[in-house]
Amino acid sequence: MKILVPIKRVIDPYIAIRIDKDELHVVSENIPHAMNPFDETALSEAAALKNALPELEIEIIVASIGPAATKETLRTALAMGADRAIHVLCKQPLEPLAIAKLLKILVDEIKPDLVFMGKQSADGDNGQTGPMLAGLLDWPQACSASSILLHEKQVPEDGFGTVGPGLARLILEKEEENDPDAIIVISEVENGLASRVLTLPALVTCDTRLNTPKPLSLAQVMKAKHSLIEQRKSSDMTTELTPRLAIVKISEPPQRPPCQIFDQASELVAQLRKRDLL
Amino acid sequence: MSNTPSNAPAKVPEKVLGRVLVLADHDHQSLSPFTPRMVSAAQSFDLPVDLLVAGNDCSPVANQAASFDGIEQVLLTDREELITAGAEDLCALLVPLLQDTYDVLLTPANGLGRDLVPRLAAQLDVSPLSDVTRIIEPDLFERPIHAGAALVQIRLSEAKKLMTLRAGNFPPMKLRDDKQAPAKLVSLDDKALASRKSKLIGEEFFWEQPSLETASVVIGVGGGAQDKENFALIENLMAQFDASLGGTRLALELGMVPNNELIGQTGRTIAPKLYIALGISGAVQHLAGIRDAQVIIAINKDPDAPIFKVADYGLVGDLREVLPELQKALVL
Ligand SMILES: Cc1cc2nc3c(=O)[nH]c(=O)nc-3n(C[C@H](O)[C@H](O)[C@H](O)COP(=O)(O)OP(=O)(O)OC[C@H]3O[C@@H](n4cnc5c(N)ncnc54)[C@H](O)[C@@H]3O)c2cc1C
Ligand SMILES: Nc1ncnc2c1ncn2[C@@H]1O[C@H](COP(=O)(O)O)[C@@H](O)[C@H]1O
Repeated sequence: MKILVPIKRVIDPYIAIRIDKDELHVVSENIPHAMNPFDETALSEAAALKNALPELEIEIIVASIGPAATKETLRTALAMGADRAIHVLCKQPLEPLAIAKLLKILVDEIKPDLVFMGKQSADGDNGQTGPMLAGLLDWPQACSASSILLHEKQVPEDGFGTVGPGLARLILEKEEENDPDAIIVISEVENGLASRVLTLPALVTCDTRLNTPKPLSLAQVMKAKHSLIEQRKSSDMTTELTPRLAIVKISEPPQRPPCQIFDQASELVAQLRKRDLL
Repeated sequence: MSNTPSNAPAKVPEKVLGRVLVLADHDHQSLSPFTPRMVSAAQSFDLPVDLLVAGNDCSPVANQAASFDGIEQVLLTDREELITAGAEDLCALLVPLLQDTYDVLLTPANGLGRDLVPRLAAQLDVSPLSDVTRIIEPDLFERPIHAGAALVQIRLSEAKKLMTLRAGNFPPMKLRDDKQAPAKLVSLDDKALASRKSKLIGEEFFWEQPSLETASVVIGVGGGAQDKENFALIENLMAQFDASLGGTRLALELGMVPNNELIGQTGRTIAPKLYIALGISGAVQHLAGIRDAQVIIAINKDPDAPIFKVADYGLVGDLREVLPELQKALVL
């Protein structure tokens, strides 16, 4: 089974951003970058499934579209357990639609059974590329996954949170009879969990709640240092990439009035009563 | 057409004025509070507004929708498959509507819209917008980026404008007055559904509190509230304010709140009248979810915690001491 995991290099989400004087950019030069945390989750999940289910012979391919520095992120991905890494060189930032179109070209070539993606990028917060790629491919999709079941073996004794093992196994058995290529994805929805069965090939976007990525060992990092990163150029991949959106202005959110600190809880309560908030 | 010159191609497409389609958010029984807010946002386009109710056995929803002002037609597609439908099926329903009739599609920025809008946009070859918080002009929109640490204004020149809205940022539409007839109901039941490649096989709803998005008071707990002795006090506070409970990612990791009640960039975005943050530092990813709260109260032992930069009122101190005092003051 082949799993493609598209990953994005973003400004380190733990760093406070600065807006450029031109009010059209977020400053990114000389700022630490990291793998988009949601993609880290997607890749960790693929790696965990590969370890847990040797019978599926999972091969993990990572791909990232971006400037030269994107290679660093792909190295991290190789250290995390990716078998192959593809870098699509593209100097200018692209909109999700253009990213999805480039990824579609890779999917058509690689023919993965599954694509795991982040549910959103921590910089643009778009949450679009996953469902877009699924739409372009006309594949089934499941978004914001909190569990991905490829095999009955995965159902733990105590179930998935409140989805009991009984239900999960029942679902798997029932669907497997009809369709051996079905997988089950449990996603968090507004007021509970929704289980969805998807026929492969399929696309799943991952929430950080799916797993907690383990820190890398020195050995993993060293091993990835010399791995090959396949190099492509977006300009060699024929698809229409013209921007459709024009940024007019980037600004800070409006400041809220300064905080009024009370010494006594009773003063706070008095203020709440005054403002009719109680 | 009578004035078509005889040498013109047989079928000259008529220049139709665009229309706005709002996708109703509902549970097959009634409309969610987001829907009237989206209908009011839809008025910004200065085009006729229709509402689509897609569901099973949901004609009461359509009737309810028809009583809102600002809607010309309510389109109803009522079929059993829609109980288990996914974005794939709704796309099949919506692609022809957007190709033929509608120039704008608005959905809420919740599970429904987030899964559907980008898929649909890609199939129509247009760039959509997610999480729109403000419609400045009919083609100029504002949305947060970097977990809300910045706001971006975007000009969208696509012929078809598809977007998900943070519905809480728009005022609700009023009901029609007694003199007005309800909106026209149109049945859409001949439209095909997709190949059913993905199917909902089970939904378990187990959070009984009112939805965080619509609760008027929300209490948020963070790592600083983890001591067991606080729990009863927090429960009292919840009862006092009739509040819903949410939390930070740390609170979730510590098992203080269920996964589903995470507030912030990864979780939910709330806009309550009052948000009470207990032992929360105020990381940008958490603030992303609470910036639209009208009043924020923070209780934290660290006076320099970033939460105080966005809070309106604060108490500095250990929750184990402050919560009992607050309790006392509240019952006085
Ligand atoms: C991509 C990404 C997405 C994320 N998404 C989210 C998200 O959606 N939501 C979210 O919340 N986080 C999210 N995070 C995590 C976020 O960055 C913070 O780590 C998290 O919000 C911190 O939670 P906290 O405030 O509970 O914990 P801490 O930051 O540890 O703060 C605890 C606070 O409690 C105070 N405190 C401690 N003891 C007491 C006491 N006895 N009395 C009073 N005060 C006390 C401390 O002074 C401190 O300020 C995300 C991170 C990343 C990278
Ligand atoms: N430049 C990129 N290269 C590879 N994958 C990407 C890129 N940008 C976005 N993605 C993928 O698309 C997901 C959603 O991104 P977005 O739609 O921008 O929020 C990310 O989590 C990645 O999995």
